[in-house]
Amino acid sequence: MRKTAYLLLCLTMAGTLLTGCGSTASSSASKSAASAASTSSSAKAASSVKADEVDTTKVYVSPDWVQSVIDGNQKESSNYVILECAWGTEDDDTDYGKGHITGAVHMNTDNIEEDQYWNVRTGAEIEKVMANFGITKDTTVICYSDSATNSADDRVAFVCLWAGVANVKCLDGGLAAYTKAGYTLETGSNPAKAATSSFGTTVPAHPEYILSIDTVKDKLQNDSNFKLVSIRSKDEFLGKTSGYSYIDKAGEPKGAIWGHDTDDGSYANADGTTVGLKTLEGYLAESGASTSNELAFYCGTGWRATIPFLICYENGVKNMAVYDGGWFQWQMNDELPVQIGDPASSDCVYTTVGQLSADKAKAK
Amino acid sequence: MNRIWNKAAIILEVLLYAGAYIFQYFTRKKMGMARFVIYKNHGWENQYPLSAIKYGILIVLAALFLIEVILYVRQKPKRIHNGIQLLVSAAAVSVCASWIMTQSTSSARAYYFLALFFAAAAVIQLLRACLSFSGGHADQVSKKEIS
Repeated sequence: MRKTAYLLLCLTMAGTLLTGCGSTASSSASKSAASAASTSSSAKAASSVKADEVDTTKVYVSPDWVQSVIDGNQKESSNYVILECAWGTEDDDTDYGKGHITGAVHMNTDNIEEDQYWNVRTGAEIEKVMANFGITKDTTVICYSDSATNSADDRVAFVCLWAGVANVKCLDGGLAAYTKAGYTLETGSNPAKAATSSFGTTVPAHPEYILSIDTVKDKLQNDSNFKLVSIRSKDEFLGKTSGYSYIDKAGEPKGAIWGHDTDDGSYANADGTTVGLKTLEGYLAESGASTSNELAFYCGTGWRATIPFLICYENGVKNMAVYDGGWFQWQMNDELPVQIGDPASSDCVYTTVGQLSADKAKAK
Repeated sequence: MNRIWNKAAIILEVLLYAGAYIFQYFTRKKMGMARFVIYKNHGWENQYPLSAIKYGILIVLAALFLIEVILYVRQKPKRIHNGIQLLVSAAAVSVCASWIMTQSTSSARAYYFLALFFAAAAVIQLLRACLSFSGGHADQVSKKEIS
């Protein structure tokens, strides 16, 4: 009897695994949107919000502005897509399941990142993603994630700008700010609607927004005006930890300066909104840099770095980019130069990736 | 002593299946875990001949299962207990083989890890059954059942 129970237990577990692994975003996309529609109608009837217009290049927008778009009170209301940005499939995204902004479609960040270095996918791949989500260069894309410090939405917004979407927004403060403002959420699934026309320009329209590792290596050696800005924690910057469970080595590319971390709230005001250019300029000034330098922001794999990029973008700064590979790609090449410690101090150690110890992964 | 080893093997098998489930769950739910798994996948694919290892595992499992069947057929008299053992072994081998043959890192990021979990569980089950059929534990069980 015990043996039979044991057999059944094993078969049940194995069956669950075999069937569970097959589910993808596409399966969730086939869910009925009926419940979403039913709850959204009541929310819409109760709200007719108006908000001041914002410039096309303005990225961080208020909950009121987002709601006013939904309510049809902005010029963007005729052609927009709202993306709930998070890693993982819709089925695995508990935040989306709990409730999302009316009409929001789940955007799995895996859609926009390849899985070797977690860099942005190729232009052709991103163009396909845009088409699948009904986005052309003229669509207003409104991205949001759960909180102010979660940079998934900034990452997606950055990729949209890189691709060539002209009007890209991030809900300032994330979903937390939206609900705090009193707006209701809907539940259920909103499948992405494919675009009916082509994207409208070559993807990427702005390849200059992303610097490759080779370009960064070259500029660090040969361009004195170039500043590689680490958007990582102080401990990551000093080489005490890699900051990631899957990165064994800690340090920074030789020549990098510290631009503070976004995960610790350094880029968020007390009310959860994103800081302005002055705060970023203050961080840069700590390391003797400014927005007059050519700036390349980077982090571990490219999420956090997009926040200062977007701050620069919406404030009209032109000479900035994201080094997409970040520390993850840098530490894969044993020959590359590395600094351990504060480069402003005398005890900063300069070495190469190959000489680093492999025991700096963040504890799981 | 054999009974202790037998029970330990059963517990280990259950833990391996439970571990596989938990591993798969967190690979799907946690970005850090998924990236760790993918990082390891790439590393293993570059370091080891995984395709050959895959078929090697399947051959080992098939050989052990064949030995188990032969031992079972030769056994007289046949006991229900041993028949169940054989069925459990067949199930364990089927789960492992079907996972290895039908899945990949594209369909399941933790493919290699889970293949290891399943293969380990199947090998333990097969060895346990073979040892049981070849004497030791089967005799003890039968003595206990008789007494």
